Amino acid sequence: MKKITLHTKLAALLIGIALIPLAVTTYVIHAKFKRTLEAQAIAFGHQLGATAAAQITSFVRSELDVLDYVGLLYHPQISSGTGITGAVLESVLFKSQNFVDISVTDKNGRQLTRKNRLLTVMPQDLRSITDSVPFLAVRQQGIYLGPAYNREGKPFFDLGRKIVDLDGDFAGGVFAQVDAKVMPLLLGEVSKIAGPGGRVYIVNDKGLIVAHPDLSYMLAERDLSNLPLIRNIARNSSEAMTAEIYINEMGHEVLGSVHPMTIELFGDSRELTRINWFVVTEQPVETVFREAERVKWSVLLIALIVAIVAGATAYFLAERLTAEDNALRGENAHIASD
Amino acid sequence: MNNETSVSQPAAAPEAAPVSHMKLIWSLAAAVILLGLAGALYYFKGGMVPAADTDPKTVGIIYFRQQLRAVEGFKAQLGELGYSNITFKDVEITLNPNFMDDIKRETEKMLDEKVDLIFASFEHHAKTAVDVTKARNDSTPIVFMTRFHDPVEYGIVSSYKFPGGNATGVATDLIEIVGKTLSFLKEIDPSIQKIGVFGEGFMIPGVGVRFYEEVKKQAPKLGLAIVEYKTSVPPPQVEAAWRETAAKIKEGDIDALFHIAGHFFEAHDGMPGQETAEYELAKRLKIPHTAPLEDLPGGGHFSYSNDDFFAGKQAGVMAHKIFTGTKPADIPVEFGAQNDLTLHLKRAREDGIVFPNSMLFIAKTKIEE
Repeated sequence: MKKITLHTKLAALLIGIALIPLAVTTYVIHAKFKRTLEAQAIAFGHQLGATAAAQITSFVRSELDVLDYVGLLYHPQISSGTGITGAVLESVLFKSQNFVDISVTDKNGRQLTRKNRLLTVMPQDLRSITDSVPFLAVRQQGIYLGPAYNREGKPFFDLGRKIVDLDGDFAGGVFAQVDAKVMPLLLGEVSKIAGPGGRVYIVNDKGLIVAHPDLSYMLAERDLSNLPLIRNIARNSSEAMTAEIYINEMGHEVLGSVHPMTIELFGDSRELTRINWFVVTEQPVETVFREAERVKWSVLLIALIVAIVAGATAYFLAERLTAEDNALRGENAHIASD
Repeated sequence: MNNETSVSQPAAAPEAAPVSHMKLIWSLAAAVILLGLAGALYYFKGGMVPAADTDPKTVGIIYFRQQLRAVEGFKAQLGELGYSNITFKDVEITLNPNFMDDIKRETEKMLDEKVDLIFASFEHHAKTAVDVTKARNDSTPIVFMTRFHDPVEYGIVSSYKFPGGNATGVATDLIEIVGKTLSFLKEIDPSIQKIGVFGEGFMIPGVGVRFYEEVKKQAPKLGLAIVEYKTSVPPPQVEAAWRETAAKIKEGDIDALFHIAGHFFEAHDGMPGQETAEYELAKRLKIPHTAPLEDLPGGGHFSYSNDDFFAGKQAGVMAHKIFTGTKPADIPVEFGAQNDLTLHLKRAREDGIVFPNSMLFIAKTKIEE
């Protein structure tokens, strides 16, 4: 077996002394940097979730405010007659880009008027909605916020608001069908902040899409409960602010974070109307760790340069340190041969 | 005794040739510089914006003149999405008694030319494209728009939610705005009772028939009676028959004119198309005239319908999804944008038609010129 020369041993030792601390330090710093980036991305995801939740809540509240004003028009002790109020109601319907249908009922749930963007509603078309879920909710809680639903390519959700008389007693309700196409627009804007490949969407506690920047997801009523992060929501909806890395339904590796969204609206009975939705923010892992990757490759490059320089230096140093030893060995060998 | 002792001096360390050392040093320096350059390139490359999609694509577009806005919207959307290398093969189909044959022939031609996608801007084009691709066992994706028919009932897709097959698109339904349009006529003049319609023989079967059925269904709800003008002459003589019929209509015979989309004759040789001719009749009779938005440039005082441009943009987004790997079967059919009121104030002013404040207030578009 060929013996390793002293020169080679010294060169290897010097290279090792130069590179091992560098490698260890680099590994530790890179790992810490990745953890920092991940923590920042999770915090950013929660911020985006909070932004999306605030936008949706603000939108719902503004629509409810409009219904409050409509309620004033039909206030039993203020109303100036259905002729004028009917025209005003139609104006409200058309000036809002989101309402599709608005109706007003008395305290027994009988429709007093109804305006629709498509239908011509005649007096004989008015009906009673006494036993409907929205009317019962408005009578009991003062507010109704229904789930999103689709009808032949059109996404909607329903809202309801109470009308009270001067004594504060229930006098009827105002109900609206709202075009939910505004949801993709709102979420699309927030998703842009998440960067290329990022998205922000809302699921309910069963993992079904409630709102998504891509309208197709809403129309197809996509079930994303098979994604690990959303499966956790479905299993334990009280678990808040979770985050993890997973492959989403499009096959992209993402860092997802969940922000619980509870629209709290004070109703007539001073109770909260809650709706358990969850804002999910997904950021591509590639984007999240891009800086860490770039740093990693930069450091590897530096390490390579250091290795070359260290190797060359070690070679020369080893050569100088072993020169005399080599000469002695050479002479010894010469004497021995004589 | 002269003992000569010879002591060998340790051999001097062999000195490397200086030239060889310099070569090594220069080689190392060059390697370091090259590596540094490569690193800098990698680092800055990471911050570069990826180039826009420039994959060449060919899209066949088949449409009626009335859907030109949809075609513009479709192209505009693809442009906004960054497609800069699409070849559009536009084919306009003229409404004539044999238009279905024309659509079939042009669709087959597009498929022979191996287009990447077909944009069919009307249900007839879409149904034909679906049937032709099925017969040829061709999976070329189809993005469509409908105007007068439900895409499920019409057999283009199996459901809104899960279209199935190779087609998906945007449904815009003129039928649903008929009642509201009639109520706007009543708002203009509550005393209106008789609505004139150029019906049987003056509209192309399969296009305007369902629309007209809805007019007949909704009118009585508002206390309106339909005065239908018919003809039994074959298509080549329809234009002459229309002019003859129109010439006989006197002031007071009808209170308003409702244009049924899907009419027979187009403008030619300085002669106006049917919607313009109807408008000139309404002008002579001093009565309000309504037409769908796509016909409003030709004639009419107001329109209540959605803008095809935005539906075209929706279709453009669907095409983008298909280009990026989603199957048409997985893209639910969407409904078009909200319907809005458009008032042609200039014509109304000239013709003595007064829009009530309620309509002026809610109108989204007011045409002054």
